[in-house]
Amino acid sequence: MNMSGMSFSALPPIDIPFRFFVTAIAFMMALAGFVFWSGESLWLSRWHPSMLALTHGFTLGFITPVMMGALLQMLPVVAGVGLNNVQSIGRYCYPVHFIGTGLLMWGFVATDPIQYSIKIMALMCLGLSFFYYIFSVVRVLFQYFSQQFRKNIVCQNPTIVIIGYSVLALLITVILGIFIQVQSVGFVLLPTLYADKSLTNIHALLGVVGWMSLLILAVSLQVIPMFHVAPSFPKFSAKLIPVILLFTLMNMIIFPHLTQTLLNVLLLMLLLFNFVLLSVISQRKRKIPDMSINAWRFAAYSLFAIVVLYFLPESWFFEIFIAKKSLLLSAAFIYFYLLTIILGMLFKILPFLSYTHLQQRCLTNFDAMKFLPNMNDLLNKKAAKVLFYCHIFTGGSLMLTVLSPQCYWFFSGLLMVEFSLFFTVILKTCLVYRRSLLNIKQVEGAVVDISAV
Amino acid sequence: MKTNKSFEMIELDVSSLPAPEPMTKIIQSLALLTKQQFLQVHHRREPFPLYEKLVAVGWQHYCQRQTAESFIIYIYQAPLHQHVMSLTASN
Repeated sequence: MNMSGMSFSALPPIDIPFRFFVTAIAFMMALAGFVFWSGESLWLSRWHPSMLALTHGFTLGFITPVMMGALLQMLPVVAGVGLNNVQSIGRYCYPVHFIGTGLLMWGFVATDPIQYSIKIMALMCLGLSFFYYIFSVVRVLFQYFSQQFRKNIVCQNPTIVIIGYSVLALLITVILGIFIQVQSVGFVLLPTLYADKSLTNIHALLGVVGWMSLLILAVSLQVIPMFHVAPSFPKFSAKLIPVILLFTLMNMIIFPHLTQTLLNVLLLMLLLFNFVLLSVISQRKRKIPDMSINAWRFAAYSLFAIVVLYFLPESWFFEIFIAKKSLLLSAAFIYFYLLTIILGMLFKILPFLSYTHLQQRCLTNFDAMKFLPNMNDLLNKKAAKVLFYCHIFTGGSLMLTVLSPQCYWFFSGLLMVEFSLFFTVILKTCLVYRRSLLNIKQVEGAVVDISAV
Repeated sequence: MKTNKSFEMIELDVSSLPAPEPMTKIIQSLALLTKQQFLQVHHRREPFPLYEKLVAVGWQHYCQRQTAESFIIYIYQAPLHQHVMSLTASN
């Protein structure tokens, strides 16, 4: 297989994904302030406007931008294809996304005279940024698959296929989200088939399982074997489970009255994948202590606990748990499963990206290699450990706050501590990168221009 | 690292190394190559980001996929192109 004739798009400039990462972390610090400002009332119900704002703060303010940034780097590394408009994504899509998320949160909590205008502005911002981003990714995936098709190659890379599934789920999630918000201001766009809250439930499941969990699944297929010298995932988990997840989600849209039954299928499939994940991790060749591995394991065990609690009969639990079960398990899924995996992935991705960008410069001057930092310099292992345990405590405080809302200040404080620490960690990575880049450029004898980071 | 004198081929196996060590090893090996030598790298995956930079600085590469988890990548200077092609054809 000769790849010399293939055109490879460049790795995007490192500052583009880092913009997404740094701002997402800063957004979480602001979210801690929002939790404190909202007080106890936020935790009264899943449908409380402040709770809707908080949920979208987590998903659109942190999880989604981190994944959007990571995907920009993932495509060139995994498939040798990159987005050719990555600068525009960094320049327009990135700020508009965060502005839209902030406006949406404000729109949820705002009162009548201005709520309508704020929501419309939020929808315009989020709609524009999402559609531009999705269009860019779909275009590059289409180019990749056409290239494979022209060469009569069956796509060997399940990661790329699953990225396609997750982007499709994101597109539907965004469209449903827009419908829901437009309906909330008085227009009825969808038939009574989606009465009550079923449309909102499908929107939430498509976002959390279709977009986030599927993308995490796609990334894990690459990241775990690549960073931990583990075997590849078995074919059924890399090909069959994602297809079942997507198929189940699509059925949810067609048969909304079956949402509850189909949710069981989704949870069981995610659980099955996590068993495979634990098995692959246990077979890795380098069994050295690693916070990223701890995060993957913790997330997998959390998912197991969530699924068990979900399926156990309600008569086995205390009344307070039954009353808050849905909110508690949703919060646990977001914080202990999704956020933990993202934390674990960032522990690897942040130093790897920085290192790879610096390393590539050494190809033009091998003498510059002496200025390469080591991975530990780029992300200190002790800091990662503190951050990981801080994350667990923050998640614990979230569970406590769901059950006992008067503890909201405790969760707010720990959330601020966790993400302030994360902010310091990522800032240090940027500083080490800049310092190393400066040294390497001096060796190259080039004019030093480090304004990119 | 093993040297095959007749072909002036330097073999490098990075298949059991975690990222980003494979790329470090490859760059270190490239730094030691003479004009008569080329590199044969055994890798678990295709190092796509490396390709792009190799081309940018004048190196050529050729990849043979053995299995889904085994790739052989030849990295060489332009004058050795025929030599590498005949070697890969005989393989």
